[in-house]
Amino acid sequence: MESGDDKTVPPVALSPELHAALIAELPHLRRFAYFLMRGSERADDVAQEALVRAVKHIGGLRPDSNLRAWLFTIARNVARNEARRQRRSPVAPHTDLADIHPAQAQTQEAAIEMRELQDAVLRLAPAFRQTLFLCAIEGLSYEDAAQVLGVPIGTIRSRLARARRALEREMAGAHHTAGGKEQGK
Amino acid sequence: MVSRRKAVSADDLQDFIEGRLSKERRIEVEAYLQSHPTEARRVEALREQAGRLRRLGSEMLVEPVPSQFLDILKRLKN
Repeated sequence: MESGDDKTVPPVALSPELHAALIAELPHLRRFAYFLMRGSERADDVAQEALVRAVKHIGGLRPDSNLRAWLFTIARNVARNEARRQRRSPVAPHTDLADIHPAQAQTQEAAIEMRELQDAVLRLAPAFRQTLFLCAIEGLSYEDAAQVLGVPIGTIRSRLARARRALEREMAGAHHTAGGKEQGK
Repeated sequence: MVSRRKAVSADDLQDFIEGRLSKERRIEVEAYLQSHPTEARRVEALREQAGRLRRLGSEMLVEPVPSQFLDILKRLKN
């Protein structure tokens, strides 16, 4: 992606259709940033930065492109840069920001289980967390997920299988141990 | 037993867990699992997990989007 100079490149006006399409993508973009950043309070900053970049480079979006996959690719790049910056001055990830909506879980037990599952997902290493999010939560095709993450489809499949097994172990363990622990890759 | 159908592969089971199979293929995999109970239990556990994962973070999709996002787009609306 080429970076433009804000001073010399006039902003591209968005057609009403594209404007509406981007608005519809915002909740998905925010949610992806949340999972990318492990619930950190920087998540919305990452999502906004991704949106600014997307709008800047909207001229490069092909008509047949999947808008969501394109936005997600940008968000991932932004998050990666943010993670590099955070390594120099680490910010602890917050995993208790999002409350499970009562309507989602019919019982208190179910709500607790969803909470544990979300925490377990956020503890996964980035490659597995991102693959799992794109395929199992966002429901992208393997092809689109492969494109966003820049890996072959076979890698998507194997990561997905491993992520699911890791979650299974975590969830089984959660019933026996008092607290969660960091899982390896 | 010789089957006319394509053998059920690991990829098929994964697609079954993900809910990505055609109806026809799903029926074939279900038939396979009926005669492989251990695998069926494993697959069913993962299917339940897949169902919960699909609902994860769904509350974020109905949250109002902070105005800063809309402002970014508003500036460029034609």
